[in-house]
Amino acid sequence: MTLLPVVLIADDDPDILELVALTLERDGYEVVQARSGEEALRLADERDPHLAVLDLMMPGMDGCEVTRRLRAAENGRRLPILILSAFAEDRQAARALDAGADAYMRKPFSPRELLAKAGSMILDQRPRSRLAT
Amino acid sequence: MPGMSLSTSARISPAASRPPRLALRFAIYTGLALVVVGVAMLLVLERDVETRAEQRAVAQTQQVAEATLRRHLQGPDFARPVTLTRQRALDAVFADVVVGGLVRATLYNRRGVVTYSTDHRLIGTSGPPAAFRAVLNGSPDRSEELLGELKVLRTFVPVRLVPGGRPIGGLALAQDYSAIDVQITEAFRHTAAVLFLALLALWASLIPILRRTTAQLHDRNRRLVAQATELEEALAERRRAEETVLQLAAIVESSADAIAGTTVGGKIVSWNSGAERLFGYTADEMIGQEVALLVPGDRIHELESVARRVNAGESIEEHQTRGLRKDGTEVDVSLTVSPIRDARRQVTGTAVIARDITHMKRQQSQLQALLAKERVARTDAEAAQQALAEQNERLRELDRLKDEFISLVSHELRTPLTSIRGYLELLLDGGVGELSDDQVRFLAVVDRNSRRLMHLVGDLLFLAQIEAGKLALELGEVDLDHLVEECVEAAKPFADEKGIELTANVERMPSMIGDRSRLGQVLDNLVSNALKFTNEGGSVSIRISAHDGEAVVEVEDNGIGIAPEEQGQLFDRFFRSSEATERAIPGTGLGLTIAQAIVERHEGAIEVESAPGKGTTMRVRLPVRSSVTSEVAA
Repeated sequence: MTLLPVVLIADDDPDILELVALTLERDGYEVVQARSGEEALRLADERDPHLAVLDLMMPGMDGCEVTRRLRAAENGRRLPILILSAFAEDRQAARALDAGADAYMRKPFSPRELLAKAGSMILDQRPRSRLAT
Repeated sequence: MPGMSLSTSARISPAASRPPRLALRFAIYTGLALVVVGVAMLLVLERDVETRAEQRAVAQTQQVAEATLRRHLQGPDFARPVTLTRQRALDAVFADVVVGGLVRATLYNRRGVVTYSTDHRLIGTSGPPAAFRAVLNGSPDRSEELLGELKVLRTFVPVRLVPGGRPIGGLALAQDYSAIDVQITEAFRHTAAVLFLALLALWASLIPILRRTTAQLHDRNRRLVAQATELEEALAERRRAEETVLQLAAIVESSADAIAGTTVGGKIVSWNSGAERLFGYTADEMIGQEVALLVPGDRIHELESVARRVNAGESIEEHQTRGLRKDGTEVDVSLTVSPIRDARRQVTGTAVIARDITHMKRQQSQLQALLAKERVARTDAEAAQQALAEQNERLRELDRLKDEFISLVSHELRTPLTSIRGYLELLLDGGVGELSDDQVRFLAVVDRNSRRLMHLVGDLLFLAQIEAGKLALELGEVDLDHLVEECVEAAKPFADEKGIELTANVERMPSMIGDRSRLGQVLDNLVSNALKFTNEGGSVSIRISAHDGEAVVEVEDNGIGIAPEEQGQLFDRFFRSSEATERAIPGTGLGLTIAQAIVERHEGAIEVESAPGKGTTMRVRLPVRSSVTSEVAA
């Protein structure tokens, strides 16, 4: 039995949370769902995921802040982070990338595009981790 | 007298400065005068000398007759012609007689008969009766006569026997005149010498007097010249002074200012035409009047103060006050009042200059008003600026809020759309079970409308950026020909679906600077519009060409066209043609607004040519070399 890659997803909108989860699970990922930034940080610490897909605008701690905190933590430094946001403006994308995210994707998203992005980001992580160690 | 002339001060006699020459001249004049006098005296004396010499000769002859001859002459010698013996004796007597130049001696008796003569031939003849008669009366006679060729002086003297007795005859002696002449000359020379010496002495004695006199004259002359010069200078001075006075008077008279003179007591003594003009009084009216006449009642105290100060010797300059005219009106004047002093520095009056400053006052008050206005305006401007700054700040804040709002609205619209579209795709994928045909058809409607909503949200966000002037470009090299090909490629399926012939006529173009994806958006919009508004079986063609540094893209269709009255609104936000609404052709009415904004941001222009029922041509002109920048100007 192969160990499924774990993807942490965070979104305050439960419909979208489920949509992303369904999309990823159908493609064979194990999905860990968080309804807030704080929860995402806790789950990231507990489950040490292979990828984090974070909403940007969440009540309380937003996606940028979560990204910064993950990057500050020991096991979050190498974690691929994809920001999935309904903000269409470039300045929001720039803000997310500045905070330390690896990629920015706009909602509404194409499921195929999301899966392709997720796959490549998890694969990309390996050489990076090798370099890091 | 030279130098006394008053006409010119330069002509001063040279003699005055050289007195010896004056003295010399006087000496010469007096000398010449003396010589003339001497010559005149000599001429007078000559006759006298001659007469005296002749008298002396007569006296001598008489003396000879008395002293010498009388002893030898006897009475009978004068009675009748002498005998020969006596004749010889008398010859001897006369031969011894010492009379200078004796040429002939003759004796006459009372009857005038020659009784004896040294010229024997004359004895017995009668002598000259006239002279003889005088001689016989006792008076000697002398005469000059010629004896042969010899000029002789004949002296005829009476001969008496006893002194005082009756003459018994006469003795005539003829002397050679030249002998007497010598005597005369000698006497004359002697006299002339004496005269000359006397005159010389006189002249010599005159010299010092002359010198003194001429020196005195010279001094006097010099004094006179000096006086004359002084007088002349004084006259010139006075003339100049008079000219100056006239000039000053003319200046005073021609002055535009009122100029008046007053006594210490304030009585007016002079009044120029400027004063006549300013105050309305003529000089005749004012002279002798009190200066207070020109001062308004409420200013009398000022006059008193001014008068006190000026009489104390102070000058008052440009004192601004008001004057009273003859007609009772008041006038703004600037006064300059100075004391007039005599030679002993005593104040004898005042000079008053009054200038009409009505105009200046008016200007000043106008200026004040202007300044006040300007101050108010500046305050207003500052307030306005402040308000503007605040407003600006507010606008910036509003702008920021608007940006944020648009961003949030967009976000909040996209979030539900995400769910709609996401779950729709899940359904259509068939991943959750097979769908019936009707279900698929209905879901397709949901899909189409959710896409449309997506589009609308995207357009609105874009429009908000454009309206905020925040349309940023990602500049790069753009090959329009490639872009057109891509556009045609993308639109082909839709055209085929609608049965419209889509063609492109592309020539190779130089690349230009621009935002590739935005320009692509424009082309997509134009082509999709053309396809939307063209009926089945129609055609749409794209042409691209270069003209004069411009790239021109034309999208032409033979569709339904646009009514002329609607063409002007074509680029307005949310404008949709009546045809589009009637035919339920989908669209937001934002496409052309956005296309125009992008083209203008590239410094180009977009225009439309259309005829209803015939078709439409949209034309985009883009400069190949533009100065377009990626960032938006603030």
